[in-house]
Amino acid sequence: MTETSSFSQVVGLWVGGFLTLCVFSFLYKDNVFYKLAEHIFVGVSAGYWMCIGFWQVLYPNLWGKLQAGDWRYALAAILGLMLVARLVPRIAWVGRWPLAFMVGIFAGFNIVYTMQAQVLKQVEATLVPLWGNPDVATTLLNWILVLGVLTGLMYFYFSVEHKGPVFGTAARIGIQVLMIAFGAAFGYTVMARVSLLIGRVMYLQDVWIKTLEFFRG
Amino acid sequence: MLRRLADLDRRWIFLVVALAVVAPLVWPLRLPIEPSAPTRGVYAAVEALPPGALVCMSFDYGPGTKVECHPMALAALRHAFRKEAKVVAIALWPEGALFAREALRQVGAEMDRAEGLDYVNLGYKSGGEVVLRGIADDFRNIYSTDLAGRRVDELPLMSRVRGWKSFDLVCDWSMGNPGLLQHVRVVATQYGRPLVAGVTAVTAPEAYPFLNSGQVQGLLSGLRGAAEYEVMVGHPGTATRGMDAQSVVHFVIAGFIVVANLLYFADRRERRRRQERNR
Repeated sequence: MTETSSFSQVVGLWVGGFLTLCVFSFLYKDNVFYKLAEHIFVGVSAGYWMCIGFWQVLYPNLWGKLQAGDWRYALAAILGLMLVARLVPRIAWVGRWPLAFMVGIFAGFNIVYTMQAQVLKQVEATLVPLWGNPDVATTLLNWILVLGVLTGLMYFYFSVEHKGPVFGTAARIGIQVLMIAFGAAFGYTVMARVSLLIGRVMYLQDVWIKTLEFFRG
Repeated sequence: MLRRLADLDRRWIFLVVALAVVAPLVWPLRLPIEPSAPTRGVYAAVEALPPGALVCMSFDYGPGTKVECHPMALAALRHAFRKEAKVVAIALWPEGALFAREALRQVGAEMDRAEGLDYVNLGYKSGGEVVLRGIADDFRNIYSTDLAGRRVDELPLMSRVRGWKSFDLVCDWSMGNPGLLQHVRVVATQYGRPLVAGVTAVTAPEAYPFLNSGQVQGLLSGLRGAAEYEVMVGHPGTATRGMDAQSVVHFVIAGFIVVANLLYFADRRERRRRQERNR
């Protein structure tokens, strides 16, 4: 249990427990407690991210730099202000300049690094030996990997109709491979959601209920 | 009977799932946990660190996924400190910096490690991949102070830290974007540093290709990965405790899926029979 030495901490923990139960109450049916928790969440999130945006992003990365005398950041400030022009229909075109700048920068960055990290390395990882492995299991897994990649790619090749012994069969196997991948992803999603539930139950069990000790003195 | 089951109010299913979670937490079953190969990869990477090695840990998660990622970070800190490693924490998520502080203080106090000497928490910087690229060959490009506002140059541990090349190992505890993908692109691929990761179960399928390609040396997937690592480190914690509930709920959900499929096929057969009779 976390330290519950002060009254304010206990109040915070009780608010957390109460709001958790409010959200869970939706499982029975929609009700005023759920709506209360939902509205508090939306409001607090909006305020929180606004503060983060100002104090953690805008202030140190722009105002702080300008205060330190780095006037290069004035250009960033001007580009940022130009983005706001999109709110005024008459001068909305001004906003396209910083947008074009951002698109250009990100495209330039991503083409190189995506190719390096997510394409070439992955292609390299599929070039595995199909014969002469130390054990049968490795050989089998390598065959599954190579065939899975090839048939999956053939499924997404739309210039030829998915018919006949080569393309038809490969596309049919490809869709099965994709289904298995989706099934695995769904299983992991279930695991993640159950983990979140376990986390909240642990909070109620380990932290919230034990705050009663504070009231007992 | 089949009709009644098919029309079952879904709130009964919620109730069964709730009981399946609560009961094992109240009455633990202590089901065995067998570490998987990706978890053993994380353990081996930390275990191979020489005394005094520098480790960077990136806390890229928020309160929503604390249950999955925080136990991973705690176990890895215990393991790294046991190996006499020095830890530099960063965060690509705002709340990550606070979880880093909580974890470092807790494990630091347990293992008698001093802030500034054995570990440093540099805190959160916005920008995701831009932050990692900005660090490049010197952390001072991005961080001038730590989370508490102390100047980086006044922290003894930071005298050994320049850029990514200073680190013997980088660990990323990630709930999404920015997180593992950015570390793979910058830390592993561009700077060639050994990288291990702990990710939420939702993002695990996206992380496995990086494990297969060797860009990530070890991977902890969700609560299960965290529990396996806790067991390997010899300090069972909340993840290990939660795995009983996780296993029971998975069993229950698998049962529901089987029953629902049986009902579906039974219903389809009945409808076909009715159609044939009507003809």
